[in-house]
Amino acid sequence: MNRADCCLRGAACVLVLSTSAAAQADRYAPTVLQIAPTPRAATLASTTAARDIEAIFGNPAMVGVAVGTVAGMGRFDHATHLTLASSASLGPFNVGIGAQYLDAFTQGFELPYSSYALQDGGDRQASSAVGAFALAMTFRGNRVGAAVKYVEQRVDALRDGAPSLDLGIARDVSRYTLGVAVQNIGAGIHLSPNSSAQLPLRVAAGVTSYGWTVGPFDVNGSAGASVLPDGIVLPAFGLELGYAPLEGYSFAVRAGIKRPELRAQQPLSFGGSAALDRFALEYAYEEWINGGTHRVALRVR
Amino acid sequence: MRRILILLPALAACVAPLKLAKDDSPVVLSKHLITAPDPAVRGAFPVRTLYYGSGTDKNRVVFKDSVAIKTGTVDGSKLADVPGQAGKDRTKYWGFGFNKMPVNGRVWYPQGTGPFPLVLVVHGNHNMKDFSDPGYAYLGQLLASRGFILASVDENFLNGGISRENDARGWMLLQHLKQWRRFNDSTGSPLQGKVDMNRIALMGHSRGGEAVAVAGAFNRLKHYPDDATITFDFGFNIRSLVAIAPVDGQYRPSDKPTPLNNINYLLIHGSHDGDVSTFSGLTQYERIKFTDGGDWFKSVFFVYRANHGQWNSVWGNKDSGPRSGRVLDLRGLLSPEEQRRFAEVTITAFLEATLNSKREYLPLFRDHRVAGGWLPKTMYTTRFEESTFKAAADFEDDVDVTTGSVPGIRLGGDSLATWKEAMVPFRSRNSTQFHNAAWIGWNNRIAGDDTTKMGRPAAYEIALGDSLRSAWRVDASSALVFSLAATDAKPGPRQPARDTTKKDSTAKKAAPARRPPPPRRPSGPDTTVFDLSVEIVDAAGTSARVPLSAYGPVRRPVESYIYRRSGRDKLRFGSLSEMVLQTYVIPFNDWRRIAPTLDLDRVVKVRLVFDRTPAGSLVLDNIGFSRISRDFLIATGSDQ
Repeated sequence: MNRADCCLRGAACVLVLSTSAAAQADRYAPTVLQIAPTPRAATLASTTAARDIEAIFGNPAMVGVAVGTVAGMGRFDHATHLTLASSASLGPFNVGIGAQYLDAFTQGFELPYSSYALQDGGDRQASSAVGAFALAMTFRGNRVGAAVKYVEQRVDALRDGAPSLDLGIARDVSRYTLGVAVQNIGAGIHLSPNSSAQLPLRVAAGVTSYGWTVGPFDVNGSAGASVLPDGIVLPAFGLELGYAPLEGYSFAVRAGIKRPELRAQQPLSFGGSAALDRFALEYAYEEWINGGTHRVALRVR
Repeated sequence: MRRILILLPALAACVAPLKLAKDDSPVVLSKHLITAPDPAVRGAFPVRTLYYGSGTDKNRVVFKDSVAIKTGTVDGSKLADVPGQAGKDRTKYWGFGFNKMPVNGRVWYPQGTGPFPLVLVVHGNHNMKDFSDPGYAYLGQLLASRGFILASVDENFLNGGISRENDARGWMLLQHLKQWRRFNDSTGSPLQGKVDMNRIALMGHSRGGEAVAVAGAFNRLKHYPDDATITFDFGFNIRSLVAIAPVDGQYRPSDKPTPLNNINYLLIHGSHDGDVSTFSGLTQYERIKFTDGGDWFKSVFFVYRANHGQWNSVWGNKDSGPRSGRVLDLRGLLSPEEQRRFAEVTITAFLEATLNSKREYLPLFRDHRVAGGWLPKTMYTTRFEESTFKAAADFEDDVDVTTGSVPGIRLGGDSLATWKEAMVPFRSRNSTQFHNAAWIGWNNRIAGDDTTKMGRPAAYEIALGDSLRSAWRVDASSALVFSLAATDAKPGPRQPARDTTKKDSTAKKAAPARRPPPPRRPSGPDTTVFDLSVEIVDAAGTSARVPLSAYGPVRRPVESYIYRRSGRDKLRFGSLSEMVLQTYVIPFNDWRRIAPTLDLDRVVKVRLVFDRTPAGSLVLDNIGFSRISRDFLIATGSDQ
């Protein structure tokens, strides 16, 4: 079986699995922890080993590998998603801070609410938010990191918040980065005695490549899988094709395929970016069952 | 589509247009006066090749199955180290650590009985898996055909992500020489008796260029300077070194710059070097001293449009890695063939002159204009010094601008706008060449409404005392030697002299003297011809002048743009041009042709008279006298 066959069969598996996932009800809350923080994360599908500024939301061990700030926005038909993340080096440590906010509607007080509401709307105002602080360092050739987060969910006048913890480890092997992370360790959200949900606790493993070139292009990819408490495995693959015609200028197109975590999500996403020196403008289109979402971000390295 | 059409011109605007300085080679290289045969033409010897080495190399078949002579390993672990995982990864890739470095080489040698002079060449730092040692085959084929043995030394295992290892690179060269002594002495060796161990040259590129200087220094030491428990027993008769685009100061023995004395030295470097973009080798050139009365010389060629990698056919034009085209402007480079042709000419001529005593090649190193038929058509700046040179003023000793380097020398200025001694900078920001020079500026125009009114030409002079002239034997067979480079600065007009014959008795207080206008940079490039006269005066007051331009090219600063992106060079460098001083050698007898009554045995003064360019400035260094051999002067520029 050649490499192309492998890729096609893998993609087919994801599509088949995604159908069964869509049939499941949403199980975890808040929703903001289950959508990609930025366009780049959305299209690379797996961020467990990604060298991104927003690694604080993927694998805290990778915080500080890319230093800078990213601000992103996602527009659903009836919801808005905002992201801000920043990372820096501080002596032997890398530190990161980040926040995400999702403003949406629901069709009741029940948690977790249906992710269809992001596109279809509802009769109650809802929002979820997460703030995070991460610390990472290198220890015996491995990157290790932890992020403490505070997550909050509101539906109308009801609200609850909970602390949570992410732990991660990563290592470079040749031109690959391997990463493992445990995300969202913490108590659930309890809006009322009848409305509560677990955080989306995940064990995720992934690999990203860097430094590969094909002709004039830079080619990088990511692959990974995460496991939820109910045993559902969510595989994800992403591919990035970059081209830098001149020092400081670069363009990239990306495409990702994944088994969705939310029932209203679809497997495919694609996007691109244009960078000038330290600034990059990113875009992604994510398929959702009732329409697509547009994501944009500005990244300053 | 419209947006794309807008974006493309915007991107194109960020790519700098190709900017090359006006090429003066049609004039400068218009003549060919040297009578020696072309050194880049293959000789009569059939060329043979062989490999020597460990015979166990796991990455290269030529050092495994093809070795004709097996060699042992050497322990360089005290000279090179890569800690941590990176070191383990290297050991895994190579199959050995720095404690078992192989002595591998690929050899081109002439078929014949010999003995032949031996030349080792070593590459510099590069991707360790993209093996660098085959990239000098073009020199191997040429030199072997002309009766030299060339061995390209394998130091790929010292390449990659490694630093502070240039002592190991130099030390390895000496370990190779030990093996060569064995090859020459061993019965049954294919090289038995073919090697003349009294005629040895070392040649290195990039980090290898520094390594040859380190090897030259280590060769005469009994102990490793940074750990005296390591003893040396080399003492080879290394007569010549060639440094190609070298670095300098990556290794500092005992935390000092590498000292080097009494050796022939050739240094070549490109103006468009995208890796070692500063002409670092100039600092090593300055440090080489001739102290033993031997017959040595050192020479520099700064080659316009040459890059870093094309001296090695493996490296090519990727000075900044595989994606160099994104970063570097490759459009203006000399072709690989032209660049290597230059290397063939100068390196072969240098080795012929210094190892084979073919002195007919020596004029090339004093004044490259004599070889217009050999050199690729581009611009060269050359430095030169031979062992009879005595410095009257090198501006290193004190802060008195009127004293020279030895008692008996007085320096003076007449009507100068600028006169100071200061460090010579490199083009890289905040870096210097670690030596001082005199900075001189003039403007002969008198300030005022009449823009044609000129004053007496400004001059800078060096007065020579009688006793020093006798001690140095400065006479008719001497030559004046100095190096200078024009700068961009142009001082403002000269203030008119005050008329001291008129006294204003009513004035209560003399008006304060007006400061001369500060030097200014013209808004556009100054295209006026830059030249000056060099005058000598004898004890009777007889004088004669020659134009400087008869003794070498005189150029305004030549800018080089290395990067592709507009504005990147200005951001990276403090100056767009590297300040490389051109050396001029003027035999005293040339002045006698102009003034036959001049007493060349009693020269008392040398003057640089700024009468050929109304305003300008220059940097002047290493003024002195030499009793240069006539061999260097054959086909002199003044004979043209």
